[in-house]
Amino acid sequence: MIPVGEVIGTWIAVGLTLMMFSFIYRDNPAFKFGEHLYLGISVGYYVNIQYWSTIYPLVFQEMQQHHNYWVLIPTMLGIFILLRIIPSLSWLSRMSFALYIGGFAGYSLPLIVHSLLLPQLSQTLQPYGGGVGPVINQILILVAVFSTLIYFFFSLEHRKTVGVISRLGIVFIMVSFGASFGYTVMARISLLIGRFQFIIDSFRGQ
Amino acid sequence: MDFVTLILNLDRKIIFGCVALLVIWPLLVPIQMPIGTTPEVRSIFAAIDALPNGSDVMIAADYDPSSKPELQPFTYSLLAHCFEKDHKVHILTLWPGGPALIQQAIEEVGAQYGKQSGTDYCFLGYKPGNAAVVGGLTNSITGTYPTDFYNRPTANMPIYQRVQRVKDCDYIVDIAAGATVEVWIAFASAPENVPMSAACTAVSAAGYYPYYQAGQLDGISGGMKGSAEYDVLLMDKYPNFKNGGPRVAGNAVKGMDAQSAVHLFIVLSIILANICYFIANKRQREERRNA
Amino acid sequence: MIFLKRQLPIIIAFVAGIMMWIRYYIPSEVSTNLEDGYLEWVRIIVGFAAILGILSLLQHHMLKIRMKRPGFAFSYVTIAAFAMMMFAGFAPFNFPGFAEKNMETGSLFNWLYEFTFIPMQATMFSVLAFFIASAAFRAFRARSMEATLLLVAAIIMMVGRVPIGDLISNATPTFMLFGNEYHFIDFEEWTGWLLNVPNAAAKRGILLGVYLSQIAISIRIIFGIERTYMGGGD
Repeated sequence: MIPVGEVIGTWIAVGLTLMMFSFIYRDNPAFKFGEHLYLGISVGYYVNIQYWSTIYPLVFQEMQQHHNYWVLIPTMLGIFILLRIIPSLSWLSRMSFALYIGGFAGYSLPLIVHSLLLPQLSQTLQPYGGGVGPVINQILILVAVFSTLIYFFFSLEHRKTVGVISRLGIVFIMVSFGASFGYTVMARISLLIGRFQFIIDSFRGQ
Repeated sequence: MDFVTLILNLDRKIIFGCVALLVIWPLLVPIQMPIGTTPEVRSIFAAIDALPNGSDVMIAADYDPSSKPELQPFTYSLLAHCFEKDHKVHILTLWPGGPALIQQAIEEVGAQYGKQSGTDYCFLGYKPGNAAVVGGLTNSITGTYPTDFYNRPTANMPIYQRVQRVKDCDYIVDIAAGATVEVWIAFASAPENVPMSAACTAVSAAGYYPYYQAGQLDGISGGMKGSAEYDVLLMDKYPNFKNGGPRVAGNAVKGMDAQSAVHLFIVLSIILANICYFIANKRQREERRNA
Repeated sequence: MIFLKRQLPIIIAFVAGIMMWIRYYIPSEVSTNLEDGYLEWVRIIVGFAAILGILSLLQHHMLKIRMKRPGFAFSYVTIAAFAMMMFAGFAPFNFPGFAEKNMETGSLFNWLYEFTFIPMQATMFSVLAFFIASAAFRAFRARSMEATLLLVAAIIMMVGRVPIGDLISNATPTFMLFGNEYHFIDFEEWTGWLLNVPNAAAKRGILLGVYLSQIAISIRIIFGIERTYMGGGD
């Protein structure tokens, strides 16, 4: 026996899905209603999640259960961020952003170099081997990485040799964008399938 | 109006109608096309399968309802695979819209396998700050998540008596709708030397190939197709999945016929539109020459 | 006051940045504690920062209602929906027929998430499928060499990464090369190569540029050259 709440909820969900789909025909009051409802629901949802997942356990529970009052400092800095909506006090938010952005710049700097930049570079310049096919691919990768970098290097005028290399770069970039586009189509269709699957399952009572 | 002009000025609502029809029809009348698997997804499956039973797997389910059809089936299948192998699962999310989706998945699959929260798995929930969370996990999981999603203290859970930080986990899988894969590579997988795979939306899949090619990711699963492939691999290796045993989502497999039909339609329509475009261009040039 | 408003933030950014940078190269308990403490603070600050965006959105809708701007009636829907979610999440009592705790499965909050938030957000994004199909039909033309490359790569991906691609590949005749059997059309092979060679390489070129600029911008922030995070005003 399916609970009543689930049955009512499913029909509400189907109704809201169709309401949002009505935009395909044209912008209309039903869609506008759904759009604004979604906005309110999502905003309320996010406030709840931020409070119950972050502020409540990391601030209130920390103080109540572990008597850790250091958390009052980031809490104050967090409140400073909220003061950004009051023009006369918005400057206080700079302290919070300075600590967050400045500290994070320092925190991420060595990790970007060691975890991302160097492994990607070393993989591009690795010794060749593994047969004819892999060697051709490795050479292609080296050429493509170099020419793509040249394409985005605007300190040199893209003429003569540099122009030829940057033109080669755009060839690889276009192939890459094409692959991304193909995948993007796949993603959007998948989402549509998900919605229709939901409607069909709802009508079938599954 | 001739055919070429008709095609080039086709009302977009006709295309909308065709797309809708080609999605609905295969869902109502499935053809059940065989689903091939790619090396990228096979690598993820093999990596999870090769872990000794009872290993610790950290799953970051960084997505929300906007990518549910693509990634939720993967979460179900991966959880089922982990529980099938008796792996301990540490699941969390960096996306605020995700917790309730993951809650559904972990509670459903966990119940099917009779797994206990706090002993066999822990749903850590959501914390904001992406890299601040991942970075924190490298020092202490219970420090970063003092309580789980249900607000129970994590420090005294049996699952965290052996595992203190990400380094103690045997594998990381990021099921991602955004750019969190890079965060996991940069702040956890690479510095802590924990192998990792990514299941991402099809939109972002192509962007993660440099990491796959560099060996920083063992495998990539792209979108609904990737999820369907994982389902197929699971059913091939563990026949009880096929025979109505543990219920994995399976929705990804159901959607593949529709996916094929719409893709074929879009490709054919692009080709047709291009042929008409070139014919129209040729005509224009001839008219100009004659004038 | 000028010191507080303009110089203090730059000093904070510098001190925090340098400390967090250096601690990476001095692995010790002190640096781990420093990192832990900083990251915990960041998680709390970011929690509040997320609420900032929400507050400005509500402020916008309140203003719209007060000024009676066109479509202001819909703003009531937003405010009411927001209030409903807040009530479901923060009410100090149990809703009859629903689970006890606010985020537990079966709670009113969870019910609203499952039956309103999920369908609306998922549908909002799925609508794009129609427009991407229409846009591909109307605008995807082989006008130049670059556009043709993009088009061909996209077509190979669209057909090759779905089951129909495997069916087409398996239906084509085979030939022998270096002792191996190949299909004349092999979408799995083609898409694999496309993604792993030209795509990965071009994306890597772009990523290397991104990393280098991230490094540069981090250094500029730490040393106070980049100050856009401070916003406008004095």
